[in-house]
Amino acid sequence: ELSGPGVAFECSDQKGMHINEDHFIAEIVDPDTLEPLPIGSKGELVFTSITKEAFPLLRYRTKDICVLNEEPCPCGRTHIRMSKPMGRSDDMLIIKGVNVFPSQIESVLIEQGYQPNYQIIVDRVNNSDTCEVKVEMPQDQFTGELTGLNRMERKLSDAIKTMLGIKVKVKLVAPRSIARSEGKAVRVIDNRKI
Amino acid sequence: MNTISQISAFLENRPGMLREILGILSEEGVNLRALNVAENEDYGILRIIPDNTEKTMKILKANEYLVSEIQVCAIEVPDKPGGLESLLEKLADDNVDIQYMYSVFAFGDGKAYMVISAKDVVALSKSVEKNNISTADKDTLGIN
Repeated sequence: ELSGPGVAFECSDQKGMHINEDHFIAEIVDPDTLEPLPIGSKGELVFTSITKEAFPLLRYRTKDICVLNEEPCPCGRTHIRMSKPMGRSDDMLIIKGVNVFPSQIESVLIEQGYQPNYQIIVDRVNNSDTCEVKVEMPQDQFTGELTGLNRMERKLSDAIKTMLGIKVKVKLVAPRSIARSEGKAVRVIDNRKI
Repeated sequence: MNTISQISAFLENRPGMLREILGILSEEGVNLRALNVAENEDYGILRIIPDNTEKTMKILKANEYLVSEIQVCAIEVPDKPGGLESLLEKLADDNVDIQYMYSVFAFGDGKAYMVISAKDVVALSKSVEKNNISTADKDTLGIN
């Protein structure tokens, strides 16, 4: 990452984070073309370090989608402010504070002998993130016993926990029951209200 | 010991799933001799003994159901209090591990039977034969 202890801080007025412009140049770029966008546009936040000498970074991509504001803050500070991130330009999810890429879950499924037909459903219950992974049952692993199915779910859940470090609920579903758009399964459903 | 073919199918636990699969079977003229559903929160397993195993397996596979076929045994239960208990006592004495069971009424002889799935079919078979427990054959249950 960029450098410690941080690149931006919130003031008592809580109107966005003040970016340490004496150390970093903040810009918003179009995540597809990577062209800079005018101040006030929504796009991906990139940082260029000014004072790092051994390991400078040019337009370091945070993958966070946000808006910059150069109006002076009511608190009196004039450094540029960034809005709260509104989303990501990649498919990374943050679940219980842990960065999760769907491809990590996919690699566990393949390793465990499942087809990569799955869906990740993220929600927030009692201020805590929940994650459920729906996986289509492979034809050759169905024994006709409930206990066998429960065992398969637990084994998968354990393997995913080893990979990600967070506990997810695995739910086996019937073949071809996961919705597909243009032949590709809809991978992530995030029901959290942020 | 007579054994009978039983088909298990994976069903999601939501309204209409059982009706859907039974609709497909009835349209193809399959008659069911016994049926049982085991379920948890998310899904169920339908267990059936159809009149024609091979045909039923073909139909369900063609309709993309997850299915598996195993051999089970239907033991005759005496029609009196303690009838089943006396049989289970014998099986327990022989250390037969029963996974699940459900009842079926055979129209062939009008008697009640318990369909038993055991972890170890050989152990079940030995115990059934040793204790002279009678089992239903295909004709009794109306299976082709």
